[in-house]
Amino acid sequence: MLRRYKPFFRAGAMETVAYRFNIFGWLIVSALQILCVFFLWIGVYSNSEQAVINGFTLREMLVYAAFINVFNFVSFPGNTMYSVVQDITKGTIAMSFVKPISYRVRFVFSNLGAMCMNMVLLGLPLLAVLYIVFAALGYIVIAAWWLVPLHLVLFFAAQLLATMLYDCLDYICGVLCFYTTAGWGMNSMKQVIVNFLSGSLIPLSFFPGVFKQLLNYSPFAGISQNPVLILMLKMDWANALLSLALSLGWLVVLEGVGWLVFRVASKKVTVQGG
Amino acid sequence: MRYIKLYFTCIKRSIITRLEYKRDTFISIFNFFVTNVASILSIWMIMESIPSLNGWTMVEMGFLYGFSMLPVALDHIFTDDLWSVAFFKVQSGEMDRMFTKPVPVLFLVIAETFQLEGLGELAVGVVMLSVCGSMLSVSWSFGAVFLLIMATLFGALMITSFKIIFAALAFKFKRSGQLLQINYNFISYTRYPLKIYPTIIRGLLTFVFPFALIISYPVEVTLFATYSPYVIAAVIVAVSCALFALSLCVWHILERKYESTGS
Repeated sequence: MLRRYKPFFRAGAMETVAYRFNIFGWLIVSALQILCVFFLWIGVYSNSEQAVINGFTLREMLVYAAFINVFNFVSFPGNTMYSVVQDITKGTIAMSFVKPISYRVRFVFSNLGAMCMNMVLLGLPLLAVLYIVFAALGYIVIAAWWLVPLHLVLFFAAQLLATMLYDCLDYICGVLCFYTTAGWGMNSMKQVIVNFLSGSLIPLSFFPGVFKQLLNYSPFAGISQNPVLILMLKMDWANALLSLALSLGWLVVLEGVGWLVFRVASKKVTVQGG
Repeated sequence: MRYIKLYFTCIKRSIITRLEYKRDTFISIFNFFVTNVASILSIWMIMESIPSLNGWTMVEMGFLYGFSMLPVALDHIFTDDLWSVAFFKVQSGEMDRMFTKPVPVLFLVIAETFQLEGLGELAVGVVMLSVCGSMLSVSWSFGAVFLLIMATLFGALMITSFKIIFAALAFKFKRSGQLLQINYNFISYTRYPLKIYPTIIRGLLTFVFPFALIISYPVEVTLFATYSPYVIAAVIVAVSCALFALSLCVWHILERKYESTGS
């Protein structure tokens, strides 16, 4: 049944190859951003009386900052929301009602394809180099060698779920804002909010009491923070499995919400030609 | 005189177009508000865990952040179309239209948009500045106020100059958006105290991309009275004007290299 979505997976991957120049642009821009964050954290820790702030040492924080930036770029390649908004404003969404494939599943596969290609082109080589450098410097402490393959498997599973979770949020936002053409503004706002709540700017342990608890059980934690913590061996495998289960649960719930929202919205859509 | 009249006609048209879609405009303004609130909250949560950052308290950091938004917002309001030149207007051939008018191309680009989003940024900046300023009991001498105003106005001019230079490179390379982005990366460096950076970065921010000059130094002078405000103001005006002149030259040279991409 899923076989018919294979072309979308491949198309997503091929598109990433075609726009691989974007990756180099991203590298330069992000290297500068990560450098700025590094200096900020070094400054923060040199002003602190404790060596551990909210569960992170300086070394762990630097690893976290580097990994999470790479992770976010690699894992969320799609612009599902933008495509949905475009389909609605241009009227091409009408086609999706007559095609024998699911409008939703199509996006999932094209994003997974793009994510896999991103991993091959940039993610795996960059993360491997960073991992080896950080491990050699002692920034990542490997207690036992078998932890590495175990956590790698857990990480890939977490990444798969993260891409699908993000894509689902993207889809819901796209359907929800079908009566605005401010695609750029909505998209950027969604990105900022997800970045903030998923621990991409600062780890969730920095959030005040209640919010920290809430966010750790929200779908956002599984989008960026937890996969990175798994990769850097800061989350043990039991907690990692718990996080994976939580993400899976949220994915089911959010896909349900997306399906519902689309059903309600598609009854209201007026297609103006196209 | 003719240009001033023309400019107001253009931006009036731009505002009317935007207000046609009131909800969209509101969303875009709100977007910049949310973006800045997320950054401010992050800084706040980091500062909660330490007594001070190299002598800067949370409130002082807020003052610095608030001020850093003012020149950026001003530039954003008036010259936002340079972004589209760098990102897609040259590549898509949309610039052709601009070259057929009997006015300088750069003028048309600047007059193309009056970006209402920038007002959201400006509002957050002013609120941060006044709230943190009143909590700090800053000694508002004439020199300090004069310096902050000059730094805002000429700082915006400096940012615009860099934008013009990088956007003009699109005439040669068809696309230069990412270079503009790098420029903004350096501006965001100045949101934190200069002291946290090593000497190389400080030098870079003072002499190569002199954004520290228009943001960090004026705030340091206001809060800690480190230098004479008039000297800093004079340097800002001189450097900004020189950069602006340079950017006009670069634009005029590269403008001639424009080739339509067709379509």
